[in-house]
Amino acid sequence: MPDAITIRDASKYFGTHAAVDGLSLDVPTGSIYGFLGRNGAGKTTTLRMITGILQPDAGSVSVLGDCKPADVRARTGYLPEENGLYKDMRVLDMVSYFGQLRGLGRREANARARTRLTAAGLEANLNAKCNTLSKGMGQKAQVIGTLLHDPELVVLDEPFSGLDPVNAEVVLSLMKQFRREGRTVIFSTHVVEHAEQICDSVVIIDRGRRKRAGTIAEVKAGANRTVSLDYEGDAGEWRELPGVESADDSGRHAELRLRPDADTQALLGALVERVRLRRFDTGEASLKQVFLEAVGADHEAA
Amino acid sequence: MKLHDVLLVARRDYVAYVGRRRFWISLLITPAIFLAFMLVPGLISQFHGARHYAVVDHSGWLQQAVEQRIEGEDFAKLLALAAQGKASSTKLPAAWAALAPQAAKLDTAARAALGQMLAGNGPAPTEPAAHAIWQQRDALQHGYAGLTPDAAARIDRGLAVARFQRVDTPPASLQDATARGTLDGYFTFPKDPLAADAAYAYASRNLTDTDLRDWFAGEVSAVVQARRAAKAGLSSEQARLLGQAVTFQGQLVTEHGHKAVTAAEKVAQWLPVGYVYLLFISIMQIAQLLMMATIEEKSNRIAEMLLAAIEPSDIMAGKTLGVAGVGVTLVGSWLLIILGLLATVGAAFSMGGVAAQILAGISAWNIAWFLVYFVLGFLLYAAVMGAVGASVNNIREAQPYMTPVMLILVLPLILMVPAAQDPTAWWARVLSYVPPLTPFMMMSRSAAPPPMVDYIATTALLAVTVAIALYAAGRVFRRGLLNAGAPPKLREMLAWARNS
Repeated sequence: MPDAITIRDASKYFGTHAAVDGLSLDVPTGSIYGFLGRNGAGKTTTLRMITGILQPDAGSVSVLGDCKPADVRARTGYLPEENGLYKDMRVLDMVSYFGQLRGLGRREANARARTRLTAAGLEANLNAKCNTLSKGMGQKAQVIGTLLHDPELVVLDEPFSGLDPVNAEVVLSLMKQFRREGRTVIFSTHVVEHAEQICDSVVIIDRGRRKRAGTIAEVKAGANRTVSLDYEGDAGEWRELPGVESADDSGRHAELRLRPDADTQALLGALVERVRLRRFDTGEASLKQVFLEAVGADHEAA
Repeated sequence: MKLHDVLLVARRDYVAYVGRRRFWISLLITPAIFLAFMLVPGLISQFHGARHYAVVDHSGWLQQAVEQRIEGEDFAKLLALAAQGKASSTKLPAAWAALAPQAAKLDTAARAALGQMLAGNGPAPTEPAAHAIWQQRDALQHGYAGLTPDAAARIDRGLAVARFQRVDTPPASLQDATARGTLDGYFTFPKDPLAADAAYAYASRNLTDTDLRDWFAGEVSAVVQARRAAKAGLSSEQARLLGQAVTFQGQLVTEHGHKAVTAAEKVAQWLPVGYVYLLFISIMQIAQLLMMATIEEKSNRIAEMLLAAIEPSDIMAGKTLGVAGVGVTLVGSWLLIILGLLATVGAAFSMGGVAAQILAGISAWNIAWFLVYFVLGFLLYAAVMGAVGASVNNIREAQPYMTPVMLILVLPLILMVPAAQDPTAWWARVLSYVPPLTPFMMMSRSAAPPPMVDYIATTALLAVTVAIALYAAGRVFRRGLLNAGAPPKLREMLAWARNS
């Protein structure tokens, strides 16, 4: 099966600034694919090239079988991070309108909008103005509008931004449902835990360049071993501990990245002298640690 | 460009605007303002009761002569009303209402003369119908004397007795009565009213209200002029001729010769000003709507979802078309309502004929060019406003861009009257070739149609400019819609137009 998206040496400049710089990647069909990067890393620009909003200045972007993004708009769905509603429009009309923009006939779009809004629990709001919807209901309506034409490729830019844990869980389960239906889902996020939880593959982008790409296992391969621990007390300077290269400390929980020659027994002994340990797990690096290592952030501060 | 997408966006924008309450308010408020302009002065004068005045007559004769003249004029009006036999004639005093058959036989001049005779100015008429009326003068004078200002106003607000009431006031009380407002003012006649240096005076609390003074001065002047003429040995006819000003009868010269100007043609001479004003209002209104709609799209955070679904050029074309539909609905409704008002409500204020004259003065040729210039002018300004709307995040940020556009748009408004008066002037012709001004200048000059070469060349130049502007605006639109930061400088916008 051909890849859903193929990007080759794509670059996009705004003035002299390279937002995307020679990026190449392949997104397998039917997978959930995460774009990870800091703010301004080039994620949104890449997604905009994939959806045909922007054209690459160099290189190529092809989607759904070697097609130009602009030629397959009826087969893709895009929910940008900055998404909103036509405040004065009826909910049913707005959702139907988005379907019609993607090529559905008016009657078909109306019928689908009615069915899906009803299924999503918005039956009572079909004829209400969009500005009467709560934030959660509004987001549901947006997602339904984005997907009304049953796209093969679903592109979501920062879909978890501003969501509470309950709604974030709803979006995660929606993505899994899309994958079960055979669709390809790509999304960008800087919340790495979400990506690790759901993605089949990820790409880590920094300053417009690809740092790591592949399945979660492939991206983690070669990364340093880690120790995950829960503790109480003051651990002091983590890097003074034997074998510790860096640490991601949240006060009562810490992820320690170890040097290749680290002795975990010696580390455990040193820790017991400093803090009261509740949990001490050795294992592979988390995706977050791989991400932080890839983008070269200050791990202690991160 | 996909027509389906363009129409989809156009339809949504049209329905969204027309469905709003503020659209209907805007639709009705302009004709309402127009109606107010038309009716309010009349209404105010209706609410203003009769003005009261007094006269101090040092001459001993002028006051009586003036009152006779005023009475005579009112008599002539009452004769005219009786002759018309209109509804108002049923409110006439019985003696006057009964005159209908005889009064109808008299023309305006005869009624004016008879009016003065009935008031005691001049000998009895010889013409049978006039004489028959004159014989009833006691009953007629009695009926007139019984009219209160309110009753007179119900008959005709033009009657002097409805508007002005002389009040007998002792000279010692004049100042006090005027200061208290019992009197609107008082007139003082000199001892010798016919002297060259005769000093007439008017005293009032409010010298800006000139209705009373102007009316009374006219009446006194007429009497004094007649007396001066008589004193110089002139007949009243000679005196009338002396006072008559010269008027030139306008003749319209065309390729087929020249002919007297009809009322419709007189209106047509000034229609260009109407065309330009309409063009200005509609283009400004619609282009601003487009800008607002685009800013709204950005502030609603819909823009990127649209960009992912259809081409930016289709979005811009659809929005332009949709908003143009809104504007055409708005301006078309205004025109229909205003012409309808002129023809119906305006008729009550003797303005019904204006609508007919305006309609008669409109030519198919000018309407065709009006439409051409409306479409091209709108597209040009829509391109600019659409690009601005896409580049900014709110109305406040749009203001600096709007100022130069407004300056350009206001220029034709300043020039429309001089251009309509002198359509062949070199400067009017030169400015017609400046594309942003072309629609306005060409319509300003339409009374004396500009040469065909001007129509073709200016339109071609404008069309090319519109094409370039739409192309550049489409690129700015695409780039601008994604711009969430500070609004771009003009140089940046030009760079977007080149590189997006």
